Amino acid sequence: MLVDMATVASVSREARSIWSIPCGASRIALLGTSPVDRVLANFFLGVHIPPCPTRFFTSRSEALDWLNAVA
Amino acid sequence: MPPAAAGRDYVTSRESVEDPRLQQLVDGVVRLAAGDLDARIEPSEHRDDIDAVITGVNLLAEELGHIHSELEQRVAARTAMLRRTQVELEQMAKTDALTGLANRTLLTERIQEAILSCTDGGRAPAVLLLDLDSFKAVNDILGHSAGDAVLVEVAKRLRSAVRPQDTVARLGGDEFAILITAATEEEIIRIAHRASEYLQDSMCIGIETVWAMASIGVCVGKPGYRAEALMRDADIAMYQAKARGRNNVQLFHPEMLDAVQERSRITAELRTAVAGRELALLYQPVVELASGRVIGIEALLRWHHPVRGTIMPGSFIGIAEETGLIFELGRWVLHEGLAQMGRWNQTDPDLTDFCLHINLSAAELLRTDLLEDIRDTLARYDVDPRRLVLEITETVLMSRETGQEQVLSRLRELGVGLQIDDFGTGYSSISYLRSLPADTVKVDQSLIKDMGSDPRQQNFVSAILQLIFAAGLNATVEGIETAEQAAQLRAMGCLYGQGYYYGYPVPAAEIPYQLRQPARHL
Repeated sequence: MLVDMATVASVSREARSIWSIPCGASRIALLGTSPVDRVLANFFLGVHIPPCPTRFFTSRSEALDWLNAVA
Repeated sequence: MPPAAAGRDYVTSRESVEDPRLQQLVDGVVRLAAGDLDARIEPSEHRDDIDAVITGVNLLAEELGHIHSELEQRVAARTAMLRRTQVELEQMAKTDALTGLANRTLLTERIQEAILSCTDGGRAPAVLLLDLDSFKAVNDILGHSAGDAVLVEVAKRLRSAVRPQDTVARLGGDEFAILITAATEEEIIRIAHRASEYLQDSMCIGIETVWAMASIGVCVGKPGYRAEALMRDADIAMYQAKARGRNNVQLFHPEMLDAVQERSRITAELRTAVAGRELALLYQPVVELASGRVIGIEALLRWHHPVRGTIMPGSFIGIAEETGLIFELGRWVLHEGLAQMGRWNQTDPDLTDFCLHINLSAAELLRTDLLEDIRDTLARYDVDPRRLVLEITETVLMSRETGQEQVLSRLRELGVGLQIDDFGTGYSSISYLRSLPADTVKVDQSLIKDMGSDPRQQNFVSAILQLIFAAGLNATVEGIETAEQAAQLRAMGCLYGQGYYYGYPVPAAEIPYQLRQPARHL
């Protein structure tokens, strides 16, 4: 699953907690460009343990490569 | 704030360098630091490093707020739990574990509260003390878990007998108490009788049917009555209830206090009586009805009190038994009686044909040194054991235990005679008569009291004498006061008798004369 963070201003705690619930994805790539995106992404990863491998990328192609590496 | 007069260049260059968002950040952090964890900073559209810092600070503030409120919740929950536990502990410290009733501590607290609240014009509280009459038997015969079940049932019944504002407490063992607040004397007595009534019904403990009735003492408080005095006086009333036959309710009267003090005084004086030679023995003849010959003399104890004159045993033997003084008294009687026999042997050596009868109480049978004492004293005064007869009451012999059994058979081996005293006054089973370790039975005077006027009583006495003979025992009838009684008894085949008709209890000096004269003839 690719999450484009371009328009995300903030993520509340409750919203973040939903990301800890097991979901169908085998990998989640968080795609962001700005420093804000980086801060948000690390709050994701630091506060709640995601159910599957999750990484932050600033390049869309790198993100897609990593996601497809599973298959 | 930059200095106002610094020059246009300085102001412009500072304005172009400083991002207003930095000031917002500073403000935001300051507000957070001041404790306003809901403070947030608005990020811009740039999504640059400063926005990243702003976003980060917001997220951190949110975290902090959550942690803070979570912590507060947990502290509140813990405090509530500790408070509940404390209440429970206090509850346990003031409650009897078995019955759930208040314990002595809580009762005393409540009594004191009740006394305090009555000073503003309310009624003084009343205290009831209840003691179960035969609880020990239940425990001994049915076991402790049955005993516990009885206590639980008693607690239940007592609770149902009182009003919601009254307190029922268990003071320990089989002692209970009830505190009645703000009630009239009438209501108090009514509650007390209700409690007694509810205990009259039997209870089923497993497959057994058990009765648990109580002696109840009531003390109604008055202004100025302190808690300890209330309890003490209720206790005194309860002992009165026991003395008056148990299973009844007694209301405390100040005279009861006098009775208690009287007992203490008697006890103290009795102790000195033995040492101070205030005790004396009188002797009453036992005769053979046919010939009038004196065949025995019964030693009877008298207390010559320096102030109150001669006191009969009835007034002090009971207290002696309760206080353990009975041992000293019994020892004194034995020694003095046998010493007197020794003296008679010296002064009147020809008079050898009679026995000395001495009364022995239940407690004395339990003396470990009884056998030795009797044997040694007989030897010391050179008295043949066969000239000593010990009179033991029916109820004692009926309920004798193994230890006592052994003492009795060893005494008989010595040659000492055993006589059953006060026969007909206890609740004896007929069949035991044949197995009693005795030679003679002394029939109590109450049985022949109405013999003269009531023919059925005559038949009754005759039957009893037959019973005694059939059991292979001899009978002595006590309390013969008239010639008529003597004649009737002789006709029934009774061999021996004692009573005022044959002689009053007299001092030792008069006995040899009595022994030489035949007593009244028929």
